[in-house]
Amino acid sequence: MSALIYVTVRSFQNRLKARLRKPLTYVAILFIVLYVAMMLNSFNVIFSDMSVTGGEGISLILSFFVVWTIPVNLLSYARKRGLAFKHSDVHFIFSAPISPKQILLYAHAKTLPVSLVLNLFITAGGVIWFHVPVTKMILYFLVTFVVENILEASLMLLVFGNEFLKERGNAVLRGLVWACIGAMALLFVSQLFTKPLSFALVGDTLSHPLLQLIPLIGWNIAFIRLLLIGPDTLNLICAALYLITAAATAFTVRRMKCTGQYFEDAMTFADEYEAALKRQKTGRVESTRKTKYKKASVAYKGNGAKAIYYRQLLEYKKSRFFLLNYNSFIMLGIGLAALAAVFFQVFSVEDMEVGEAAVFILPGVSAYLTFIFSSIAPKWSKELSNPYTFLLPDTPLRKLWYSTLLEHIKALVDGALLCIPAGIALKLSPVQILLSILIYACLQANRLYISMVCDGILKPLFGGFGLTMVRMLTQGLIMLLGILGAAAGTAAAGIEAGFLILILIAVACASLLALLSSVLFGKMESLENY
Amino acid sequence: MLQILNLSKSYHKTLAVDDVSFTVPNGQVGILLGPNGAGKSTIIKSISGLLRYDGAITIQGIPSRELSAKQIFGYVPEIPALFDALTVREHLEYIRRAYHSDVTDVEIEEILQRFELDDKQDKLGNELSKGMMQKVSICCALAIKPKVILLDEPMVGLDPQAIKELKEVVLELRSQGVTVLISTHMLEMVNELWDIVFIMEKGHIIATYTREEAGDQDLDAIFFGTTGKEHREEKHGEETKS
Repeated sequence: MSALIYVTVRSFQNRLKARLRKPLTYVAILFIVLYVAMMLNSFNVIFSDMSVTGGEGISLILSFFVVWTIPVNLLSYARKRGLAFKHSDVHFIFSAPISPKQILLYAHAKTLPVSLVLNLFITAGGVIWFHVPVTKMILYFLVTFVVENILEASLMLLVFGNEFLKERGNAVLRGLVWACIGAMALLFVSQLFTKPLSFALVGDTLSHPLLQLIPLIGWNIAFIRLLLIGPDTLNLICAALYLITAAATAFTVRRMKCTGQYFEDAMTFADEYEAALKRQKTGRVESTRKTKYKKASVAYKGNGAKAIYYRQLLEYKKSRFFLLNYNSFIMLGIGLAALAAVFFQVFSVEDMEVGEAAVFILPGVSAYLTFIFSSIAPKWSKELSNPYTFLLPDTPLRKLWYSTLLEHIKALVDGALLCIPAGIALKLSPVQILLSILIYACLQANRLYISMVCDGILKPLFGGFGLTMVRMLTQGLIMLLGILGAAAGTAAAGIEAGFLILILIAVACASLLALLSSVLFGKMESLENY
Repeated sequence: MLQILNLSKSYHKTLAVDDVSFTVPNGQVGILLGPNGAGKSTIIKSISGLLRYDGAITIQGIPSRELSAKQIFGYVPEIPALFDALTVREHLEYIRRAYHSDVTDVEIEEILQRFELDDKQDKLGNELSKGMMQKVSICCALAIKPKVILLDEPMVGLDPQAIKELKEVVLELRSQGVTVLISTHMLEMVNELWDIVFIMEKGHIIATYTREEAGDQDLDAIFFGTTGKEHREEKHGEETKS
C-alpha cells in the first residue's frame, strides 16, 4: 500500500507545484472564487423560492442527488465500467506485487477528494442555507462520508474483484439495479396520476415512504432522513438495513478471493479513460466506440489542398447521416420544438409581446448556442493533428480554406435546420430566415477560426482554463461588435440592413482570424497542440 | 525458470492462443518469434498477469498471479506508459517500495548512468520522449532485481547506444542466472543473445530450437526456414516478374 500512497501523494505534490508555477493559475482561482461566490449567493434565492428549508429541505435536495447518482454508479459497476485507471497504472501497478483489492481501493481513492469537497460543501450549505444545527451537520458529514465510502468501495470491490460471479451473475446484478430504477419510476408515475402537476410533486415523491423501501437507493435516503430530520419507525428500519448492507458488503469483500482477473477489463477502462482525458484536453467530442462507415466513393477534382476537401467529403459520405451530427439534431430539435409550440398553441408571437423584435430571437439563439459550444473543437481540427496536411504541396491559405470549407457548408445546413422551422414559428419573412441562416453560419465560422488561433497560437501562453476564457471572451467581443453594428443598421435602414451589417462584421472578423490562423498550416510545430 | 503450461486464450469467439506450452530454463534467454497476429502479445500479457486465461504460468515454480511471483518478475511492455506527474527518480522509488526491492541508491545511479538518464532524473514522465520512456521502463524492470524478466519489443525507440547497453545487460542478467524472455521482430538485434527460440504462428508454437540444435544458422534463417515466409515472398516475386 505504501507504494500506492507514494504514487498518489507525489503525483499530487508535483501537479500542485507545476500549477502554482503558472501565473494563470491565480487568475483561474480568482475566476472560480468569483463564480462560486455568485453561485452561492443565488442559492439563497433559489432555495427560498422553492420553499425548501430546514432538515426536511436539505434532505429533499440530498435525496434528489441520491436518486440521480446512485443508480448511475450502480449501473456502471454492473456493466463493469467506471474505474479511472490510466495506461501508467496498467504498466506499473497491475504487474507489481500489490494486492488486486488494494489496486481497486486506489482507483476508488481517486474519487475521494471530490467526494470530500462535496460533503464539506453540503455540510456548510446545511448550516448556512437550511439553518440545520452545526452539530447535526457535522454528525451527518462524519457518518455519511465514512459509511457511503465504505459501502461504495465495497460494492466496487464486489463487482469488479469477485471471481465467483460469472457473466450470468453480473446480468442478475444489472437486473436488480434496473428493478430498483423501475420501482422508482413507477412510484413517480403513480404520483403523477394522483397529484396535480407542480414542483411539490418532486418533493412528495422524494419524501414518499415507499421510496425508502427501495434497496440501497431508498435505504440511503432513509439514512439521510434519520440524520437530518429525526427518527421514525420507517427510516430507523431502512437506515439499519443500509448500515447492515454496508457492513455485510465490507465483510464479504474482505474475505473474498481476488487474484486480479479484472485486470483484463481494467485495461479497456484505461483505454477509454485515456481517450476521455484526451477529448477533454482537445475539446473534441468523439465517441470512443468504433464508428461504422458505409461504402462510398468520391471523384477527386483538382489537386494540392483540394485533396483535403475531397477526403473530408468522402468521410462524410461514409458517415451514417452525411453532414449531420449531434449538433445538427440539436438545431433541428430546437427549430421543431418552436414550430410544435406554435402549432399546439403553447405560445404565439403575439403573446410574447416582443413585436418586431421577434426577428432578433433567432440571431440571439444562434449567438447563444455558438457561445456555449465555443469550447468544443470542431471536426476540422483533426487536420492539424495529421502530419500529411503539412506535407501537401500547397499554400497554407489554400490548405486552411479546403480544410474548413465543408465546416462552412455544414454550418449553413445546421443553420437551415434551426432557422427554417423556428423562422416559420416566429412568422419571419423568407429573406429574414435566409439572413438568419447566414448569421448562424458566420458565427460558426468565427467560432471555428477563434478555436484555431487559440489552440494553435495561444495554447503555449495559456492553460486549458485560460484558453477557454480567451476563446469565450473573443467570441463574446465579436458578437458585441456585430450586435452594435446590427442595432445601428436597423435604426438607419431597417432590420434587413441591420442583419447585413452583422453578417459583414462577422465575415470581416472571420477573415481576419482565418488569415492569422493560416500560419498554422505552414509550420509543423502546430502538430504538438492538436 | 519461466514455465507456460497448456495456455489458451480466446477473445470472444476468436482463439488467440491455443494450448501453448514452453519453458525458459533458469539463466537462459528465450526469444519469442512470430508474425503479426501469431499470439505473442497475448502470451506476454498473460505472463504479466494482465489477461484471464486457461492453463498455468509459473515463475520460479510459483503461480504467476501470486504476489511472491510478481515480486521476482520484471516486465518491460512494448509501449511504455509512465506516470505523468512522477519524475524518473520517483518512478524508481515507487518500484523500490512496490517490490520491496533492496536496490540501493548507488545501484539506481549506476542503472540510470548506463542508460544515460542520470541527467534526466528530475524530469516528469510527461516530459520525456518515447525513447526515454522506454529507457525508464527498462531501468524500472532492472531495479526490481528480478529472477525472471520479460521484454516485449524492448529495442523499439532506443538509440544505438541504448541498444548496445541493453544487449550487454541481457548477457549480464543471463550470467547472474536470471531467466529472460524477449519478444521481438528485430531478429538481427538478438542474434548473439539467445539460448532458446520459440516460433509462433496462428496461436501455436510451431517450432522450438536451442542454440545447439540450430548450429551455425542465425535467427533469420531459422525463422524463415520454419515459417516458409521468405519462400512465399520469393515465389510471389517470381510470379510478379513473369
